[in-house]
Amino acid sequence: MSKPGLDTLLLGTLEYIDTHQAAFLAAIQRHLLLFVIVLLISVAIGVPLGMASAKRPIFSAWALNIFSALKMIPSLALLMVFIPILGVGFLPAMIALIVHALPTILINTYTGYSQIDEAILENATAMGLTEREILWRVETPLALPLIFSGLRTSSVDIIATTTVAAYIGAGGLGEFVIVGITNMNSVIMLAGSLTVAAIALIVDFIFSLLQRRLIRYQIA
Amino acid sequence: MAGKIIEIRGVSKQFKNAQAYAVDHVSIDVSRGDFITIMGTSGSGKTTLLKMINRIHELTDGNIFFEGQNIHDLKVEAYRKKIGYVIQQIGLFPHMTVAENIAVVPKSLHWGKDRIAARASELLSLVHLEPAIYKDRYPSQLSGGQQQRVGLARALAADPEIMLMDEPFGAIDAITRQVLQDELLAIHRKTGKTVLFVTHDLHEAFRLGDKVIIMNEGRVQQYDTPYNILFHPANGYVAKLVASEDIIEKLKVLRADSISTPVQVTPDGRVPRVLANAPLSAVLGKFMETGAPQIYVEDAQGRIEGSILWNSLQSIASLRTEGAEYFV
Repeated sequence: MSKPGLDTLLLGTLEYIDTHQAAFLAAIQRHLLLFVIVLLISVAIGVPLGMASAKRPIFSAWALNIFSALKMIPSLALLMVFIPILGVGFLPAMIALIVHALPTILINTYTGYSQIDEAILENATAMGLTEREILWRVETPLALPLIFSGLRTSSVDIIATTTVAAYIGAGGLGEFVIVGITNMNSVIMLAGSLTVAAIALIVDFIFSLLQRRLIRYQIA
Repeated sequence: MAGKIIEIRGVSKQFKNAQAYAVDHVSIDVSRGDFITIMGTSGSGKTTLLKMINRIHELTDGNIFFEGQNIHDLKVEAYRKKIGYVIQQIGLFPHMTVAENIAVVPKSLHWGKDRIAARASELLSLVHLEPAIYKDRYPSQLSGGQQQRVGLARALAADPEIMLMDEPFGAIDAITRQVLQDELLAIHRKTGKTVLFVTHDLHEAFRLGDKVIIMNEGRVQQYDTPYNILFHPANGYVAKLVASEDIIEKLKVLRADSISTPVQVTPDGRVPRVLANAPLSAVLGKFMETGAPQIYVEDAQGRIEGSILWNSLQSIASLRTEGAEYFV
């Protein structure tokens, strides 16, 4: 087999996608579904936990340590760890991805709430705002940019790692990559991986637009 | 309107893990409408005392009464809304525009939208920031001096009974600081608010305060007019603090209205004038410049408040600080 040129390769990839449209769309759907579920659950757990860590120093000591450690585990290893416990399929993949995405969201939320200037909080208290008013009108808006950048980072991360999760039966675009690698077929592998990259870029772009709106006060 | 607004009774504060008292059995009355400066070096307890008034720090001992009521019995959030608070670090909310910053307390008090907007414009004009230009800006788009003007406007937003200010001009350059001091005095005259103003700067304390509280090691050393503190210091510490052989130095820290007397006759248009908050050194300059025997003291609107005779200025120069025996 002679080495095909880059243009042949890309054309072949596009042709492959065109001829396998149904399977491709299903894979994209599955990929995005997994991403959205993982992101939502990670936010639902990570944001409140990060907030609590910032408010309760005793809590933060163990929560932050555990999650910082979790962050160090390579994603593939993390995925494999769950096989003996949960088997393979959508659910184990989902749980593994949540464990993988959670630390970034939690740590960014914690940092967002912890980095607020003491003087600002003292003023808010001295102005007679209740704790709840301070939380929602002062602290949360000020923590939001960092929380959001955590979401952005872990979103791209989830989309990429979901590809690897195909190894434990998650489905999605990773299956094309696996098939491509096992059959030494660059075209199928590229069809999967280029699409993942495109989705990651698009999601990142959407987040960057939202972020710019959120922190308009910082762009003075 | 007169009467006591704040009564501090035997108040002490001891912080956790600290041996000494930060504030040690302080008793002070503050009359409504007074501008009082609290002066001391760092560690003197001046800021702690101030922050006990709005319960940022809780008391270890003693009581504080606000309009006759023990502040411990008041609902703390409602009580704090009656107090304007301005600190050196300014602490504007960076995610809110200037107008939104000013609106925080009024909003929390459920004022109507129109009333809040009108109040924001009124206050921005009061602190000399053109509302149309500044109301929609973010704090990061303002200079330090402008930010503190907004801080002042925000503190005044809900028309508080009393203003607590902790070295509000401490981080601002000397020229802007003097402008802001003058404007604060003008605002005080205009609004009649009670002001408690902490500073470590003796000049600032004397320039601004109708009365000055000198603090050291958690205790009040003297609570009196600048004039009395200069010429009748209560103890060795105060005497040493204000000690200056140089008469000009003393004239620099006393305000024209500290020695002026009401004008008895119809004001004479030819008599030279100085502003009420001008230092006596400026009054001396005016006497030398004009050779007049008398100078009128006027407010910012040009209304004559009183007059100073050359003789009365001269008699200050001959005053010796009592307690000179403290210096060995």
